[in-house]
Amino acid sequence: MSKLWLVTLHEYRKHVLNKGFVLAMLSVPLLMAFIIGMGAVTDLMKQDGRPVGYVDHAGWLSDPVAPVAPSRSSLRTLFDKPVSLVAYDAVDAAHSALESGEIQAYYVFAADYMQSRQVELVYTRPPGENATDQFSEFLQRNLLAGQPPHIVQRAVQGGTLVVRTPDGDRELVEGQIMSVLVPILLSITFMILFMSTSFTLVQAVVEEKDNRTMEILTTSVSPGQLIGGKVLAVVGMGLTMFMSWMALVALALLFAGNVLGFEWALQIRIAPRVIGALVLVAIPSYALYCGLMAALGSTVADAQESQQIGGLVSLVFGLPFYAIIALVEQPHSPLAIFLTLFPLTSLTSFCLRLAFSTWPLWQLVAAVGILTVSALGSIWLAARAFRLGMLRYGKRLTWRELFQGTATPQSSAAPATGGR
Amino acid sequence: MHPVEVSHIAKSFGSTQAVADVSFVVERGEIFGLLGPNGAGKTTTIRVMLDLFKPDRGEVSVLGGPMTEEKKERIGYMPEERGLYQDISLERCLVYLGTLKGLPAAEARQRVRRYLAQFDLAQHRNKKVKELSKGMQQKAQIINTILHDPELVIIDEPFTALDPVNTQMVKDLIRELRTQGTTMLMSTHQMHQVEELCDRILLIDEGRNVLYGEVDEIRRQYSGHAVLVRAAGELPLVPGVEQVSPHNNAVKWTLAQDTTPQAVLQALMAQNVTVERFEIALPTVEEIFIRAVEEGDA
Repeated sequence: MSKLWLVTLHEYRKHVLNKGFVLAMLSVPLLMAFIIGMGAVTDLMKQDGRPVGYVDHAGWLSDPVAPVAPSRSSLRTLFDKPVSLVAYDAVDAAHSALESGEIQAYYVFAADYMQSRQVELVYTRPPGENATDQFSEFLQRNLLAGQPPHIVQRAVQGGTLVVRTPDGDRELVEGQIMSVLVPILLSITFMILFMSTSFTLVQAVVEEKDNRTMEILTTSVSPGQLIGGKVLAVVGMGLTMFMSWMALVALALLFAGNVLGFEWALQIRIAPRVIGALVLVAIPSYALYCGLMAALGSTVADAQESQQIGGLVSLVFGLPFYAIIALVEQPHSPLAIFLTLFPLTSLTSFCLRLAFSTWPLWQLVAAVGILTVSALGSIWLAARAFRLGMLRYGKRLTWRELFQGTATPQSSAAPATGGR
Repeated sequence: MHPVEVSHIAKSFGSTQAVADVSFVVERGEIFGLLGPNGAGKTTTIRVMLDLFKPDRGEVSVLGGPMTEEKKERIGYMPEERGLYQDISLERCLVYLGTLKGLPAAEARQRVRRYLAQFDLAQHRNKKVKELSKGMQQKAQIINTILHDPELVIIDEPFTALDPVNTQMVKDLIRELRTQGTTMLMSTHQMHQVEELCDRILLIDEGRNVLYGEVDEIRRQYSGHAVLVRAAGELPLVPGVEQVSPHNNAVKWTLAQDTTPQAVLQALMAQNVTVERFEIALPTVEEIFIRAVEEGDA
């Protein structure tokens, strides 16, 4: 096995086979589960399973069409409790039932309902969404009594507004909030992934200084093999984490869609061309970050300093989030184009623009080109910084030294260890 | 072909001249001592030898030519900056570093276990390196240096942090390696170890050669005009002795320029003195070191 792969395997095992990685791997799905769980609990609190009453002064519901009971799983039923509808002859009786808590609310149809369509809702506390939704459907079905069943069904379903780009790559379906949320969540996921793995890379480089293993390693392998192995290991770790997240999220969505009956979970669609574009942008972005972080690890004095500076770099990555309004309202403005083409913000900008608009092909080509050149430059810089900074303990390599190549080998700050 | 040939190397970092002009040759199978005060340029010289730094001028030949990636597997190096991976087990750490020196993993593991047993570390092999004492880590470093049977071993301060028992063990190991034909370059401040172990030395100061050659020859060169004498009973007065000073269990006589040790011995014999010890007073390497550096400063 070549030394590059020996370093890669060693580093990969070191990063992946520890509690920190398992926690990081589970953190995103757990966070999502927590958010979904909180939403579900909130939804559950809006449910009220008590009956809803109605008083029909117009007399048009003497022989009502019964509500259609949907075929739902028991878990889905929990989040959309069926309510029964109770007819009352008089308002007094309905009101007594409301006061005693037998029903959660009652509707009163005006005597001239067929002309005025006036209905009054009476409650002590607002009824659950399940109750109002089911009563609205009951009303629709009775108003459409006598129509063919498919007409009734179509009318009850209502309209769905679909906004689609001319090339068909992007579409926004009314009510499918996940179509907007997925790209945003994707960019947040990329950000978390980049931050966590690139910090790991910085520490992997700094660690050799902290452990004083740099000289042993550089007299065993070439700097290229060492830094290349470390980058490959961190990329492998990042891919492992990303694939784990995707697999866990896919499982969660399948569970939500098939078991809980949440239709939105099965309606997330991103065109393959868009995924391809994101991959084209994501790969050089990742390489750029890894290169920058490796260079950073070679220039700083210790792990603590690397975290502080690494945090600043990651802040730049998140800049498009601060400009999200501009990206949404004016996706073709100079600011949006700049953020799309600037290598450190390209990926996030593309993800956010995916949520709300499209991008022209030239911007994609230009961004990928700029990113590729930047990534190669950052890796070159990392190799140079590593070579110059590898034997400097407790002292940082300045950017001036990095570009001039006049670094001193040992630190005057570490006289106890520094020979000359 | 010498294992190491260094010819007039110089290396500066900015305005700091770390090495001005250093040349030496390390013979095959010898223990070579690289000596010098702090800041003399020893570490930079070693790093130039190992191609960690490119020299500004001069030439270096290691194992028959310029340093290459392939040659790294034939060299064992224990740097001044000691270090091992702290958060993994001792055995895993040493096996990994052994594989980077070209050993197959199974072979590396087998050798690591053998050396751990030899160095009384077998029961600690599954402990994390950071859980080991400084002395244990030092022994682990030595194992890492020789694990792959290198042709050339370069060690910076091999006895740091070792207790007397382990110091003796390392000395025995160094002698054993020499017996096996391994060439060794040792940089140290512990002059008595140099005297005991090294065949030849190079003393450098301010980046330049100061003394270079066989240890015994250098000591002879630096011997003053003096003899060490011990006799049964009191020593008589002998012509030509200018100064008398105690020296361990003997007396050191500094002789006049025109007085030879043979003349002094004859004078003692003539006076029927029972001589128990009579030898030319050779300076220790430490004394030579101090004198040479002081002369250089003057």
